Amino acid sequence: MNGAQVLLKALEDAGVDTIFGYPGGAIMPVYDALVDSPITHILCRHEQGAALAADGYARVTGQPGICMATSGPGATNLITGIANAYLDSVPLLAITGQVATPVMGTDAFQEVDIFGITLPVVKHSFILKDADQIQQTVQQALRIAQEGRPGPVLIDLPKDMALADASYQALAAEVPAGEPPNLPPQSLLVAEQLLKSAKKPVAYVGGGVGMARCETNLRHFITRLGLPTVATLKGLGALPSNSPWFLGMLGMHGNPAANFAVQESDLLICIGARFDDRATGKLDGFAPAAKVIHIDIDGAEVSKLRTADACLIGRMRSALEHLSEVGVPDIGPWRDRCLEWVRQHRPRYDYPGDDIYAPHLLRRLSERFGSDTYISCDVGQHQMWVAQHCLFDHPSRHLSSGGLGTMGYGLPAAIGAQLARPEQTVVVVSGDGSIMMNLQEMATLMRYRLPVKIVVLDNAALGMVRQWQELFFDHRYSEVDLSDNPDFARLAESFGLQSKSIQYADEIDAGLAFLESSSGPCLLHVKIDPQANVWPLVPPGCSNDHMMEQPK
Amino acid sequence: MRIRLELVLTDIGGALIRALGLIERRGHRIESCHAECVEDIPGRQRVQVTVNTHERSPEVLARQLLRLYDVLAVDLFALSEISIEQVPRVVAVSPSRSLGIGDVKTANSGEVRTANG
Repeated sequence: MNGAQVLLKALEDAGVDTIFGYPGGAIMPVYDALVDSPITHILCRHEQGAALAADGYARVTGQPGICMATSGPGATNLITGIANAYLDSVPLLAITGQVATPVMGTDAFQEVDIFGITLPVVKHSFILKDADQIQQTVQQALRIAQEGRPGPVLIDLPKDMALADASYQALAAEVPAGEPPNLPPQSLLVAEQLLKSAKKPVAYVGGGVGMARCETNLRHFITRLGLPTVATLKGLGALPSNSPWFLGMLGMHGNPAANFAVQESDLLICIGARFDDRATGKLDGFAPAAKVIHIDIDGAEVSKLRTADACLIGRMRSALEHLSEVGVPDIGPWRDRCLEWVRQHRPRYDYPGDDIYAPHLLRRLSERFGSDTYISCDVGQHQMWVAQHCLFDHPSRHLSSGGLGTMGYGLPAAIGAQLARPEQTVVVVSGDGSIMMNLQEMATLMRYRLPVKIVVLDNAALGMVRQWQELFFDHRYSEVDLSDNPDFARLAESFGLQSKSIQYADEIDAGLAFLESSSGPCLLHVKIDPQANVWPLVPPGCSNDHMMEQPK
Repeated sequence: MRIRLELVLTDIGGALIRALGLIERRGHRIESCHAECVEDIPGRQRVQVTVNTHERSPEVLARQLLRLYDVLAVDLFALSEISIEQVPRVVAVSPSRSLGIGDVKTANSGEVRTANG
C-alpha cells in the first residue's frame, strides 16, 4: 500500500464514511486511492464549503468531520472553516496535500506553510515526513479532535509521502483519552454551599452541554432545583425553548428577561460556557453581585475572564449529577420574578404594514416544521432572529457560527447536516449578504440531490452593519447597500433548485407551503423591510441591563 | 507582572513556535527565551521564557499552554522585587502524559496548583 491508501484505510477503520473535499495537484494520490475506497467523497465547489460542510456534519453527528484539499490555495481556502471549528469547539480533521518533501521550503508551485499558517486556529497539527507514521498519525488526529474540548486537527501530507510505500497493520483504534479528570472534592463542597445559600440563582448554559452530550443531565438538574435558566447562542436547545424554566438567550441580542435575571442574580452556575463578550456585554458590569460556579472540561476557560468561586473542571455529567442532589432553599419568589419578566417581554409579532416581518416568518416556519428540524444560519440580523424566535429542543438542531461569525456558513453546514441526517428536515436561514459567500454550494445540493430548504431574507443590505451604522455611526451608511443583488429565485433555478419569491405578509403561508411541499432542494426568496432592526440590543461598551428596545 | 515559565516540550517540529506563539497571542510579552534539548532524555526540550503578563492571569496562561499537545509540563515562577523563594510557586503538569523527567511533580487533575497545596 502507498501512503495515500494507508491514510484512507486508517480513516475507514476509524469509522469515517464521508469526506468533504476538492482535488488538486498535491493531493492527487489520495484522490486516486479514493477510487478504490468505500469512503464517500462529497465534492464541494470551494474548499471553504468543504470545511464548513464537515463542520455541520460534525455538529450533527458528534463525530469528527473530515475535509480535504490540495496544497497552496486549496489549503488556505480551508482556513476559515478550520478557524470556525476552533472557535466553536467542533471536532474536525483537515487533510491537506503538500508539495514533496525535497522541495518544501523552496517556494515551489502551490506551496504554502499551512502548518504554520494554521497554528493559532488548530487544536493540534502534523506534517507527515515518514510514510510509516501515516496510520498512527491519522488515529492520533482523530482522537485529539474528539477528546476533552473538541477542536480541529490538521494533517499536512507531502506528495512523496502519499506515494511512498507505507506500512499498515491492524491496530486498535485510539480512543479518546478516557475520562476527564475527577472533580476536585473541595470545589464540589464550595459549590454545594453556594447553591444552598443562594437566593437568586441562575443557570447560564453554553455550547459545552451539547458537546458533552449532557442535555438529559442538565434538564434533570434544572428541573430538580427549579432554576431559572439562560442560554448562550450555542447553548440554545440544551433546555427546550418551551421549558418553564427557560428565560431565553442572554447577551447583546438576548431576551430582556434573561439579561435582567443574570444581572440581578446572586449566583451564576456557568455550565459549559465561557463568558464571551457577546454574552456578557461590559465584563465588569456583568452579574455584578453574583458568585460563580463554573463547570467546564477545559480548565483554561475557568477564571479566564470572570473569577470563579467554585471551579468544577472535569466531567460535566458528574458535576450535574452531584449538584442535582443538593437541597436548595426556597427560591419561589425569585422564580416568580423571573417568570414575570418573561411574561412582560414576550416577543410581539403584530408588525404594522403589509411587509413581511422576519421574526414573524421565522416563528411561523419554526412552528410549522417543528423543533426537531435542523436550522442552519448564516451571520447577521437573520442569525439573531433565528436565535430569538425559532424553537429548539436539542442543541444540535441549531447550526450557527457563534465564535467566528462566518458569513457563508449556513448553506455548506446544512449540506453536512443533511448528509448526516438524510431523513430529517434541514432548513438554511440566510441573508442576501451571507448567501452570496458560498452560493456555489447550490451546485453541491443538486449534485447529491439534497433536499435542503433555503430561506433568503433579503433586505437589500448588509443589515447588521447597516443597523450599527444607523445607531452608532450617526446614519453614515458605508458600503452596506446591496440593492443590486441578483434575482435570487432565478439564480437558484439556474442551479436546478425550485424557487419562489414572496414579499407581502399575506404570502407567508404560501411561502411556507412551498417549502414544505418541495421534495428536492429549494429556495424561498423573502423580501423584507430594509429598515427592520434586531431588538433588543445592548450597545457596545454597556452592561446587559442597558438594553435598547424596539421603538414604539 | 513578570513571570518565568519553564516548559518541557516534545522535541518535535513546531512545538516551540506553537508554545511561544500562544504566549504572544494571549496578550503577554516575551522578554527572553532559552530553549535546549534535554540531554539525558531524548525527545524532550526544556524552555525558559520570561514573560510580562501585564494584567492577565499567569495561571490561565499556564493552563492554556497545557492544552497544547506538545507541552508536557509547565512550571511558573513569579518574578518581582522580592526574591523568587518568597513568592508562590505553581506547578502544572499535563495529565496522562509521560514526562520521563523525575524532578517534576505530576498533578493528576492537570490543574495549576501551588507548591504547598
